Amino acid sequence: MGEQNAPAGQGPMTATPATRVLGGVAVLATVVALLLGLVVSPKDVVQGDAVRLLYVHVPVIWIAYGSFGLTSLASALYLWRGRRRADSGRHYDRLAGAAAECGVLFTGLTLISGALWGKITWGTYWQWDARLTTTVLLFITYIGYLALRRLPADPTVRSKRSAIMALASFVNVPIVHFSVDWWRTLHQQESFGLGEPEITGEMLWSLLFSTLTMTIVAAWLMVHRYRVIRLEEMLDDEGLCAAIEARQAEAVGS
Amino acid sequence: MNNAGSIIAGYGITIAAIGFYAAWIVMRGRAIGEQLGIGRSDDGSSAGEGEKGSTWT
Repeated sequence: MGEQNAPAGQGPMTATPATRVLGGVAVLATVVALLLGLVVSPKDVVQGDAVRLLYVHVPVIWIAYGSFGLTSLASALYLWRGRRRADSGRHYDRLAGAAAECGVLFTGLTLISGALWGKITWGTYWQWDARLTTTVLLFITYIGYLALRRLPADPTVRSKRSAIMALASFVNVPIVHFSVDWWRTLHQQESFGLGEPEITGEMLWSLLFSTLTMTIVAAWLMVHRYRVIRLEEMLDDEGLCAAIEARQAEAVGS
Repeated sequence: MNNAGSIIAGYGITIAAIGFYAAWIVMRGRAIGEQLGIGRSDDGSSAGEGEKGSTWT
């Protein structure tokens, strides 16, 4: 036990050499993405400099979609396989929680960057447009999911409830994405899909590099958040063991 | 650059929010680790139970 006790002020790091490299790459990539987005990329002929905000806005919603997709996948695996094996079940549950938290952060950033872009392009920060409204619903739904994860309950019951809610919440992701096709909206349709992209040259590379950068940043955040959730579980387990020992000591003493 | 305020706000808020969240994660990990009494050895490598917080599984 002796070597397990850290000197005062030196708690365990959630980092490993690999994640330190990932963090360094994320910082460098962010600097390059800033240069590409703010300096190298030309103005758009229609949007002018407002296009620079799309190098933030588009990648963050893609990362949010990916995060919520990962949450759903981990939740499905939890319900399918995890409940029979406690160790892998906890792994899937932690992964779902870490990814959802990142997804909420990136959805919030989508709403903020979109509002700033909308003010320049549409003349207003907000419209109750189908894309914007469904994105707010997505944001609120996953905040509800995170709140559900924090409700006091038996861990297995809580994980099962959370997994079911994660799968139900994901239904809104395709609705958000295809809302611009399904309804007549103020929001423009996608300019970068599976077909031929409508943007080219420095603008395309700025968008792609910014997306790659956000992916690296999100990976760093998720790995560390996963590890912190694990530490939180260890703390809960330790508190439970201490309470049981105290109760046993009381029983022996009485 | 036209609309420089909005563009800088968009980039600034994004970087600040991600930075604060990253810092909160690291600080929370350290705080819980101290409560659990696990950490790193003097040479900076993970020691004992500290490894538990340093892996995916």
